[in-house]
Amino acid sequence: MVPPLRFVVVGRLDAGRIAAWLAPTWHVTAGRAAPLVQRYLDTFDWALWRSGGRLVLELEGDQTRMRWQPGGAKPARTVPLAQEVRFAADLPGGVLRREVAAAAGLRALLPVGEMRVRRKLLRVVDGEGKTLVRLWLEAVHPLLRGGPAGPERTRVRVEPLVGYARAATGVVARLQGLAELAPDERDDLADAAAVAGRTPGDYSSRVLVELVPDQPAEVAVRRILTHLFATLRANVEGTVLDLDSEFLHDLRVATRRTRTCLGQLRGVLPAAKVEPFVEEFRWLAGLTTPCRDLDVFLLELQDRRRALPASAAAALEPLLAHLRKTRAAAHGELAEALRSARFRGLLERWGKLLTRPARGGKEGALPIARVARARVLRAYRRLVRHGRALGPEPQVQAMHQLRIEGKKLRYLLEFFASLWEAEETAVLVGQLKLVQDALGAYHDAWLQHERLVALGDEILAAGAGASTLLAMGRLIADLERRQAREAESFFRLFADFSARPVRVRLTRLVERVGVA
Amino acid sequence: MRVIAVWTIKGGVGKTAAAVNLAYLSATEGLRTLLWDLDPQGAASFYFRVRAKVKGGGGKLLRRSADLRPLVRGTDVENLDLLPADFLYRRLDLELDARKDPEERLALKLAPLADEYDTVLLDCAPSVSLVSESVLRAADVLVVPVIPTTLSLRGLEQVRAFAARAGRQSLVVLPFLSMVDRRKTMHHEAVELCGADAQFLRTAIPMASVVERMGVRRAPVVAYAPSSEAARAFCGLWAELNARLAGRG
Repeated sequence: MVPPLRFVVVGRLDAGRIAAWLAPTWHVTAGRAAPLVQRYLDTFDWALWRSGGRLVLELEGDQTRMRWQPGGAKPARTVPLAQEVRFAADLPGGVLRREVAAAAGLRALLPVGEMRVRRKLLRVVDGEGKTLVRLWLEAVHPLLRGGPAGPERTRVRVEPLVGYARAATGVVARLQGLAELAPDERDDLADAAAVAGRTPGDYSSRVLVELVPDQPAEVAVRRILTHLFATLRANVEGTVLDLDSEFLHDLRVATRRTRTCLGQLRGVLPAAKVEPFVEEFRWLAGLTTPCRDLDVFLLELQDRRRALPASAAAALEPLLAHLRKTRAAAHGELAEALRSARFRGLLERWGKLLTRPARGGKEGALPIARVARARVLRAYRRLVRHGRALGPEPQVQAMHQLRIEGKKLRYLLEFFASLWEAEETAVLVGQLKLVQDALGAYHDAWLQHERLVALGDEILAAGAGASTLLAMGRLIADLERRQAREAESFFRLFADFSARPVRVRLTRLVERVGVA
Repeated sequence: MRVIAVWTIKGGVGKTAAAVNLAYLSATEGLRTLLWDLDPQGAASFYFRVRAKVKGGGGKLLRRSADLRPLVRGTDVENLDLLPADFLYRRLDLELDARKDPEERLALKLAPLADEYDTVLLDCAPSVSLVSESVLRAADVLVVPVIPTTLSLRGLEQVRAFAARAGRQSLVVLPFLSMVDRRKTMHHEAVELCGADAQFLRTAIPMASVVERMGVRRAPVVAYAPSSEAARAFCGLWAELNARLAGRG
């Protein structure tokens, strides 16, 4: 299939002129002009845009439809909508929902920009009256809060039909000779988002900081912390408004990374200035835990419920309802704390500290590559030492502690990734991630197990029946099996990660700085 | 992907009209839909103004390595694609017979399209053949148009017997009354008789000139006469079919 092509109208051009230009080779029939509003939707981290797709809510007269143009040369999929869509799961079932869900995951579909379009359909037809190519003559105007913003542009968009590529190629070739048209490379999503102050790809939860090996450590660490601060701030509003569970997740990760930075790179920043923030970020991390734990538990239970037969799924409903209520209360407390003077004060003071030039700590002047190497190797050695100290039987607290050690090492590797060979860093981070995933799954299973055991009486008091308790019993048994499975998996993965080959690779990696 | 075959042994019972209208309704609901015109007469292709021609005919198309995608044509209806007929399909039986696992061949050809379509409608030629057997293996649902006459009802029994022998255990057989003229006593009686058969879909498609005009308008009746009795009946049939299949995955 020929990819859709567009031309911007640089002079005066109407449907009649286009039809005359394409005749006699092509016969064109024109429809009536119709106005519509196109609202571009994407996740906060631009997952749809990154996949190459565009999701547009189209409002035309009394009709509302969702249009999904997947990446590559696939045809657009459209679906009429009868209800509001916040997540991919709210879309009517089918290819469109499957493809959008695969790209968006758990994230909400949020408006990122809006366009007003006045358009007329011109159909290029064969002798049977069959459409071979659709041409849209359209005037597009970005909107801000419902009103036009920025310049209006008129263009011709070529929409090929599956199986009629030759006709589309021929029409495009002919249109290229029309003096009133010039190739249009603009992206509607980017234009619509720009008016709303956004740029596609302007947010990612990944640590993207370019460092130079000889840079003073204090400058480099300040850059990392500034990046983390921006990520943290970007997620506050979405967390408070509870747009989706990943805002809180990203806020929490940014907080944890900040704490790791402060703890693992002590001596780089001025201790007296930084020390008060250690306690404040610990407070912030603690605030986010109850709500996030419940998010993870609910997501897990919802997944599990989908795999169950209808009767068993219904038995879990009182448990889910109870957890949703508890989660709503936990979110309420979190939102209140994020609106508090203490939190606002933390942001303000931390922001000032990061922007104000100050003398670094005793290691602040050292080259960052040297500091990074020492800290990474120290964190690795500590992880290995603590992991080897575990007995053959899994121990919840010790393994949780080890998980935290693992996170510290991973964050350090991510902070300084730009100093080292990218592929090798990714391999080592990937290996560490496997260990961490096993530890995380083990700990989540334990936590959920304990919570379910403790919830029995509460659920009964809330009016649940025996079928719910039986379903909870099945879950508890599943979680016990899962804990055992994950512990086994952890010991196997850790044995590899703590073995000599990984130590040698890691040491080589951090010692060979500046290799792009 | 749900594969719905519209097939019966008897011809002239409104099979293609049903396939074309159901395909249209599936597409306008937002489901990515493929209508495969397997009837060498090519009526479904004609209704959508698509040339009934497949490069290489049925033989090439049935090759294990052949991809159906390059043969697919987009119709003027959003979400609705068509795999056109070819007059050479009259020899599809012979082509199938010359291959390994002929009964599984259509299912094999459709499998790679599972990620691209929600609904596939097979408009089949009215005959009992190796093609019909292959259609029954590929289909999840068999929709059988039955006109209220003795021969057509007898044809349904033959379809049921054939489907039981050739089809999969999970194949859902859903007959419906087609081309019903309530002025005729015989039709009236047959409607009552079929009403007692739980397998029958309750919606009956009336005999109507507006349906016959599909050949002139070259479009589904639900597209050009949406408020006509026939169009409403097709909508009812589609809704009922979906309700019957709900929960079957």
